[in-house]
Amino acid sequence: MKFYFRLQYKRLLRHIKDEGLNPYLGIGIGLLLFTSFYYILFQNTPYARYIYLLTFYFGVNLLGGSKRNQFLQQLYNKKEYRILRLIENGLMAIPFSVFLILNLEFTFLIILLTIGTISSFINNQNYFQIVIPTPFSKKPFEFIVGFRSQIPIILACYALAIVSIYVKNFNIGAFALILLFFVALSFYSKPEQKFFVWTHNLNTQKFLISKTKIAFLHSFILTLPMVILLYCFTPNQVHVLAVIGGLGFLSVLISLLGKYAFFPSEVNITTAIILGISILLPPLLLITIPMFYIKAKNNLNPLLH
Amino acid sequence: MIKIENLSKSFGKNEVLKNINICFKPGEINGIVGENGAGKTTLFRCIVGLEKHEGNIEYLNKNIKDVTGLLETNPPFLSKITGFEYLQLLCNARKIKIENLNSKNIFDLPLDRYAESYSTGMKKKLALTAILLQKNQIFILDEPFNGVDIHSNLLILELLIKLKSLNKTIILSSHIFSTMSGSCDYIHLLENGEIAKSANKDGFQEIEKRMRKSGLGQKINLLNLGE
Repeated sequence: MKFYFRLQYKRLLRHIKDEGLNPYLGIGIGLLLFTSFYYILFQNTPYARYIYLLTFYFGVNLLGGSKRNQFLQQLYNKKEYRILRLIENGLMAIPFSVFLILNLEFTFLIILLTIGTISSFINNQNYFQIVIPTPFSKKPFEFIVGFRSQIPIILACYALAIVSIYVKNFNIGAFALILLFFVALSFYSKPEQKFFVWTHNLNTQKFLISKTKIAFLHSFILTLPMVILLYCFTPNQVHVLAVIGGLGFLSVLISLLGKYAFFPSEVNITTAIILGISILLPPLLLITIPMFYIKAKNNLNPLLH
Repeated sequence: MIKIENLSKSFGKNEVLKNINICFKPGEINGIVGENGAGKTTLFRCIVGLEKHEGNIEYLNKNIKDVTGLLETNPPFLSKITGFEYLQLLCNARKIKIENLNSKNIFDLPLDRYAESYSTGMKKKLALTAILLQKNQIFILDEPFNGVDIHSNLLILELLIKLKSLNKTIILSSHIFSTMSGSCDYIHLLENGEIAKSANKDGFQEIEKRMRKSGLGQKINLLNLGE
């Protein structure tokens, strides 16, 4: 098992090296960015603790992929596999825990550690064959794949919105809607194989417009029930819902353009930071959306003409 | 007609295709044969524009990719997408509306299941169904018979004949020479990135002989299996 973790460490260093950075400098920058993320988050939004926990959940969820876990189960016996997954999630929890301890946020620390522990026991492969129906089947594929992969978080968002109505706290509902848009934009985080772009008989501009229309339509379908729910119980907050909706659509758009700007490669660290900052500071979207549109158009031209 | 002139392709210093000159006409089935690594897949990917290359590829002054169905050796699939949704995705990409997809399911695939859970042969049949539904003019089929059961292989052979009668341009590769010689009008032997030999039906035996000659016997002897 020691070899496995040594290998993971080597892979991490190689990933950083592939980004053109000295691996140790890269780790230093990573820690600095995480610290900045923590302070920016906790100084700017009352939902910081929830976003912090959700970020951790996204992290451990990546480690719970079915194919990866099937491979690990082939390599190790049941006991070793369980220990390995606990250690992995524990390592992921360390940086998150440090800041919670420093700020004496012990309740959230316990929740974070509970999420980490439970996630290490979740074996996704049991759900591999279950086809979850979606309202997006006519226009595959991002929202179909994303909806099926993120269904627990989507249900949690809707549960949170219902809770906000019961406790008469609109802020929780607004947070649930923001979260839902974050989930929607995450559907564009991984590039598809070249074939699925190449097979379109559209030029680049029409392809990007078509993708944008689908992204907006599907974001609308995903969030509409929650917006209606929140509007029915807090009609005086319609302007807040409109602002969240508008910014949410733009965030989904920048995520889509970011994917195709670097296609078929994944978005690199620097760009991911620019995208993240644009979403956190929405006026920047006025610059980054045209910038990424031009880059995506130039990038896809050789493939689509 | 697809006219390829002076097509070359290198990956770094490794020159995979060298100065290929060849024509593919509608209503003809052209087979490309060659050892693994001879450059067949790279040639196909260059023709459809998935790889940058040197040289010229002409097709009726149209964008060849818009009318081509490409069946790759291992067709790519997205996770958590059913067979139905895969077909819908590829039809949408060409703006083709299919009213009843079930009636077009000629290989009797379980279309309501995730495509990633299909066997190798089922994946190939799904990908083939999709490019047939796209109503393409050109079909480039990389190892279409590989991993597919005998019944479906026979169906694919019938499909090739039908597509030929519809004046479609068909280019395919296979490692099973008998399948190629039974279905192709022309076979082109690709060796070390070059078209070493092209032949019509009368010359297929010569190509097969040439492939056998290229050291098959000597290679087996290297193993010293008798000792």
